[in-house]
Amino acid sequence: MSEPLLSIRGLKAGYGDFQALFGIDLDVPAGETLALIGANGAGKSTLLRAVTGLVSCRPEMVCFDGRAIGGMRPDRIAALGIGLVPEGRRLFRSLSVEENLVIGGERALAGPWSLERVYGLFPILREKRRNPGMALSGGQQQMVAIGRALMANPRLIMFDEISLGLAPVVIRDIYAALPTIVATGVSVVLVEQDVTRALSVAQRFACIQEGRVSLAGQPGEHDRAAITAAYFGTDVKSGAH
Amino acid sequence: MEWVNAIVQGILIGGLYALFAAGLSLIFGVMRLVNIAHGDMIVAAAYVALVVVQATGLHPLASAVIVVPLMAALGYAMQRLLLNPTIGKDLLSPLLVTFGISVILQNGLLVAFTADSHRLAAGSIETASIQVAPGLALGVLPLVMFAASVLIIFGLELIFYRTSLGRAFRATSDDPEIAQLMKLDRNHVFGMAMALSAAIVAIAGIFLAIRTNFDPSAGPARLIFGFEAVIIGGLGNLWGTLAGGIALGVAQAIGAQISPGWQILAGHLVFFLVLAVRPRGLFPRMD
Repeated sequence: MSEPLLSIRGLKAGYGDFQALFGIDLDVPAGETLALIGANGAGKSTLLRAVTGLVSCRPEMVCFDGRAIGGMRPDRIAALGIGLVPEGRRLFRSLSVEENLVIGGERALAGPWSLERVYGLFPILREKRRNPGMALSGGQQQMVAIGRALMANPRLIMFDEISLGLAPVVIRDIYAALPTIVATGVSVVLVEQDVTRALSVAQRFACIQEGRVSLAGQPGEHDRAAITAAYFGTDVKSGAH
Repeated sequence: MEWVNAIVQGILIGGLYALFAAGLSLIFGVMRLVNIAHGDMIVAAAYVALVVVQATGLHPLASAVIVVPLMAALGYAMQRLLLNPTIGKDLLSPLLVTFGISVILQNGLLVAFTADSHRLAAGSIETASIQVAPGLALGVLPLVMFAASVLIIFGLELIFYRTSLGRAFRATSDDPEIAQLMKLDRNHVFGMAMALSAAIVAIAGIFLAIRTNFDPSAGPARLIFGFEAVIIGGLGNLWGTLAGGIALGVAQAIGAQISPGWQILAGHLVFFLVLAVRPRGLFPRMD
């Protein structure tokens, strides 16, 4: 296997005196989808924030395309091609739907995504393009947030809690769009509460528990009990292993 | 007719107050910072115009060609070097820095130009007027200033709602953290906001210098007028700011008509009245 696109080594990070991550090791190969699972407060969001530069860490702890980027300025990291769909969408409230998308596409890398392509993926957004971003339903806001990240033509796109707080039917729509996104060759990190769903779309997964990787591998490699144990930190006796 | 005259003059001066306010409103909108030095920056711009006019012999209005870019560059540098390092930690430190800049500007101007008051002579345009009705004449200069103020506010609206710089301003104001993920360098965005504010300050300073006598201590009163215009109009609404400036100007003109002592007080009273009845201003847009 060639050099992974994103490589995390011994990542320690936190907020002030509070340490959230205690030495995370992770790889995301180019073009693959990594599911990041774990209970609330396990450190998944902190991990994404460290990769995007919103939380600082030592340079060599996060490498992107062979380059140490830990602790770089968030705007510089974004310019390298890392996109984030943040938890809670966090659309710009004073910007219209279309402006939210356009601002995502400023100084974009070369690539397949454009306003037209995003509208093709989520046709409802074309209808609502003049509306304020915040006037949309939760699911439509999530579509805007995804489109905003895609507009930059990122090489790595990270979804934080992609389906949190959304209605089941909307979650289905969002997941229906994922293959189209993945097919463009972008690498994906997916943070998701629904383990079954996350594992069904990912080539690899990593389970985070209390700031450490408690289990990692390919979805078929481990049985449900092992994953559950890694998720909750309970001592489940695994059988033949 | 005296009263009509007073009100019309009040409306025209309101444009200048809106100019005082627009830059203040811009900075508050983009970085949630009340720039205490704003009034002193206006006065400093008036002195810069004075120096430029004396050195080059340009007409005061034409001096804008030099004063505006110069003030914008100074504003950008001030933001990057003095204010940005303090922004984001807490609300008080950048506020204190602007207070410090205010004190330094006032005393720096005092050292450089003494406490004598100055004025820029604009020539024949100062006395030119248009007779619109018997007993009602409009000065050409106040009309030009008012028109310029309306144009500047219109231009600001265009920048805010039609350009990528304006999108960057609004996005940074909405969510500074996520705005960085849009490849926006926060320090540069704030620098550009201060540069734009300082460009408006430059125009306001030139107009102030032509209209009235100014001295190094004239800044704080301009800050108050600008602040009141912003609050009366409603935060985040530039046309509201123009309305606020006009309301303030008319109140002062009516006050002056009653008795000279009432001029400034009447403006403050209207401000308090609006605060009491509509605490978010007449046309609020910002949450």
